[in-house]
Amino acid sequence: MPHMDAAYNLARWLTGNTHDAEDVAQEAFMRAFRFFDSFRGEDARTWLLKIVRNTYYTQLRRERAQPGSTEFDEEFHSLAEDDATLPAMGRADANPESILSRLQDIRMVDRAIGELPIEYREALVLRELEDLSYKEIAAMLNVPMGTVMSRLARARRLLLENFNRKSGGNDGLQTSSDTVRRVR
Amino acid sequence: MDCRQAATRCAGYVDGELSAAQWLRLSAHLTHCAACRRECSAQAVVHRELPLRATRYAAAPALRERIEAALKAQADADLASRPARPATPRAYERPAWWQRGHGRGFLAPAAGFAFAALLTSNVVLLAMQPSKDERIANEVLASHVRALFTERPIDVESSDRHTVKPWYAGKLGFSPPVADYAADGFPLVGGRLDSVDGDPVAALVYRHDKHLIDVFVWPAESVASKQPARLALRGHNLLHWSFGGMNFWAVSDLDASELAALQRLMSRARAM
Repeated sequence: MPHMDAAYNLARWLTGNTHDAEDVAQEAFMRAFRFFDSFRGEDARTWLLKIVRNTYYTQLRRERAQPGSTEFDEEFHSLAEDDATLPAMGRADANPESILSRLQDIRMVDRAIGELPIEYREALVLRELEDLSYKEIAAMLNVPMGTVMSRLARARRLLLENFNRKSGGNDGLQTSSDTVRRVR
Repeated sequence: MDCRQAATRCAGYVDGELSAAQWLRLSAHLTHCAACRRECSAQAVVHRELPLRATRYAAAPALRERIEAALKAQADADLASRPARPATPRAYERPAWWQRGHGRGFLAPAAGFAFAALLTSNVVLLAMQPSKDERIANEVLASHVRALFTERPIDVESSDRHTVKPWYAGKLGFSPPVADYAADGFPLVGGRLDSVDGDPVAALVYRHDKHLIDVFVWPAESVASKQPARLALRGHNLLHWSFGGMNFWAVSDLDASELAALQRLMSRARAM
């Protein structure tokens, strides 16, 4: 099956766990199979990844519609799209090279990505792990290319700050929501 | 340009996604702003290191099997729920799953979807009524993509024409010309049964480099040869021609020129 790893990888990064990722990947393939006629000659992998993403958000909405389900994530939704200021820039982590070199533990990198708000996480995964262009990402997320750029800028910035904490920065006890507040 | 804008543009700079004008403006800013220079190099480090250090998860073998089984079950269910269609003269007894496309059960919603998508493009403004060739092109391409997608592109897998040709004997009312062109870079991979316009056809599968090519073959209405005609559809190239009383439709994501090379081989071999 072509592109199954790409589909699963995106599903895994979106859902954050194996079980849900497998459900999303399987459902996405069923949809792709049913609607392959909607394939318009774009890159097949991009087309499939878009279905994976739509499948994930559909399932998420369905879960949220049920009582007692996951609560609306206010922290995530309060991150305004155009609020791209980066006040922490160049402060604590003047030398990202050295921060990264201390990050030998791959789980730490993975955890830092996993803690990113989902709209930054998905842009980052599509760009860095699936190597999609801004144009492809913009089409997939249905946002302008400038938004893709600002999300990637913020995703990388948030990630570096997270790395900095995890690799022994002097404020190592901060939670991820502190980080989010700090960069706003 | 302020620092806030520059910090965003750094991402585009690192990803090679800035226009020339954006690039020049950012460069001008960076020459006198050390903080933004640090920001750009920080983003560059993330961009360089992340693909090496983050996990790119792979689908477990069990998941692959589960999905393939689910797809097959879905295809079988579609087939089973398909209302019986009027018998065609050459219909064979037990229609296989890949034929489901021609009943109302499976393809109808998908075709409706495709049609809706078509309506939104301006291509159809002049040609709301698809010609027969366009209809066949769509059908042939759909079949090709579907076969690749389910990794069941081949029913009889052999590079030996003496295996492939007899395999069709009991299944089709005609004998498709089968030859292997491995020496010319187009090895025969096998064949499958398919259908076009409601009639069973032979789908010969060739390979060129890593690309698979389907060549659909069925009897032509006349023995007159038709010169190859090219079509490009949804990122694929199609070539169709008639030769020796047969219609040929080749479809692949290969370049049109390479498809044409296969067409010449097939026409030459038949002439011998």
